[in-house]
Amino acid sequence: MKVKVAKIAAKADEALSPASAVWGRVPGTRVVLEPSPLENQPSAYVRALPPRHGKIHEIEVRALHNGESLFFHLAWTDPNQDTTPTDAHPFPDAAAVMMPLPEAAEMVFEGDAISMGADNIPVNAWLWRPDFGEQAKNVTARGFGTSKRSADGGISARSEYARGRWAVVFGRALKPQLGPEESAPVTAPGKTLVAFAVWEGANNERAGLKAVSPKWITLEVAS
Amino acid sequence: MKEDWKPLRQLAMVIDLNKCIGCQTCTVACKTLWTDEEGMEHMYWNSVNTQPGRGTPRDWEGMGGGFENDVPRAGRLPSISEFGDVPRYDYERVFSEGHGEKEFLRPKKRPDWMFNWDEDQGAGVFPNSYFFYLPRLCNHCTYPACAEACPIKAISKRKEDGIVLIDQDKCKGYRFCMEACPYKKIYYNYVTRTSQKCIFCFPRVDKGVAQACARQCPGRVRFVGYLDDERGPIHRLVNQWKVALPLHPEYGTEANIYYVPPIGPLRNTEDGNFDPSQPRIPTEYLVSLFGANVKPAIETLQTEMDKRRRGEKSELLEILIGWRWPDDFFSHLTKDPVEAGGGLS
Ligand code: HEM
Ligand code: SF4
Ligand code: SF4
Repeated sequence: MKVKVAKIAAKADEALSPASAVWGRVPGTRVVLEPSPLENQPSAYVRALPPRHGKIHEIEVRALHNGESLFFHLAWTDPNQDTTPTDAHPFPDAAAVMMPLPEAAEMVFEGDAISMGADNIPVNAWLWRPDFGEQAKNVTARGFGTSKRSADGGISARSEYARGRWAVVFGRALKPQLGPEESAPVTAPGKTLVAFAVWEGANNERAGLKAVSPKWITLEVAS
Repeated sequence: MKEDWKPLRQLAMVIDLNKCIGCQTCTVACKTLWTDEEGMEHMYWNSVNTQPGRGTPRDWEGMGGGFENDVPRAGRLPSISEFGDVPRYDYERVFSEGHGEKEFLRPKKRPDWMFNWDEDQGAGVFPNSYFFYLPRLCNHCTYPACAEACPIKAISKRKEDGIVLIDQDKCKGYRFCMEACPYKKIYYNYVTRTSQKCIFCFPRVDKGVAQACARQCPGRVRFVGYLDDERGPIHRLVNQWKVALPLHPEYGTEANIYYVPPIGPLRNTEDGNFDPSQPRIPTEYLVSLFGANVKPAIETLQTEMDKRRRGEKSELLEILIGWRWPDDFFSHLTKDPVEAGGGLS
């Protein structure tokens, strides 16, 4: 499977706006999600839970770059908008885009099963949550239970919730401000891999309880 | 796996329910020492509830968690409204916005539940109604279901004394621990976005000072020490005399807060005489809390009390009474917090 990153001379502000007309010019790719498997997760408690997670079954993905920055537009249907954690709504909705870090380049291929990386397969995720504001977290992981969040990945995120649908845009410089240990650089033209995850807060989804694109997808960046 | 959590030594506490007067001094000692910051308003790492009663959080015994045949059992996330939030007052309106002459200070929302809401209600009917107080805190379990549940290992159990701690820098607020703890003794802080709970006063323990709840207790209800210290009160009450029992042993975590079960006063007959034929607090009720071992424990307690009544000596009652404070109560943790250094009291 492939997601194409079109080159469009859009201003960052335009591209970051989920409802901007610029996204109308980018064809969407439907990505089917599956509940994350429980059996190899790092918590005996989570492994023993009755499988009720993975409520979001598909997302629509669009991507573009403007020569400087890369943007992902994710949209999905979610009848419940969960923003700031409260007593009645303890968990927020969330979404993430994952890419392998350079060290993992020769270790993973399109179609390989997704995970949270491994010792020699470090991965990088951009994590959006409505309560994080306009700054997404830069997450790195080398296997289940190892994820680390950082706020200085230079990842912007803006979201909109309307008519039972979330639309979220992530944006980051192609050449990231953090080093290759923490942030996956993307070259144009070029090719890398991506994966997606969505958490349905109303279903108490968090951490390993989520819906994921089960296999690595090729990200093809236009020149 | 479960066994990996076992510490080299386990620090434990015994609470004698026959002596607890429900004064909540322990609760307040803990509150003022550890949970007086924003985001912690609803937290009572130590709470004292009247039994029988719905407890804290409300009906917590039906919320799941713990282990069943060593397999983790799914649990439910308790909410602040089930713990019972503190009443919030509109100080600004009354004190600084000029409404003080017409309105008095009252909770913004009429409270309908708080952590000790059903205090002193108990059960039974006159003249044989009954209740007792049950102080609760994190049990620093030998097999901490909370730690087992955390996918990022933010919860550790100290090898040297078994104290269970949530690393506030690692915790991401996933709250699997809150679901998994069968005693529902973990709280979520909406300001720090982390889970928090009793730390067994580890900064005090590290300096030889007993936990604030234990040291401040006017009833001298609480004993602390290592479980394997054969000369200390914990070992003697738990292992030797077997009169101190964990709450809900069926939860499978091996709790390390032990309770001396309450005997209760004698029953009365309609015409005002004593009726010693059956206990005031139904034994089945105590079994439902402390398991079947509560029966021999009560027998032992009663036998020893009878000895004392006849003027004989009872080693067990000497321990439970505790003549010298703090030495008879706190094993190696007898230091005064002020003498031990700043920030501990
Ligand atoms: C087999 C599929 C997957 C499983 C079983 C899984 C499992 C987990 C687990 C157990 C955690 C808890 C924290 C940790 O492990 O460090 C976690 C966190 C995380 N996962 Fe996954 N994951 C999977 C796929 C994905 C994918 C495809 C993405 C992104 C596209 C993703 C993004 C993240 C992020 C961003 C976090 C950190 C969340 C936070 O900081 O709160 N995961 N995952
Ligand atoms: S301070 Fe002691 S007597 Fe008072 S409620 Fe707590 S345990 Fe009971
Ligand atoms: S009582 Fe709950 S929070 Fe405390 S150690 Fe046991 S399982 Fe963990």
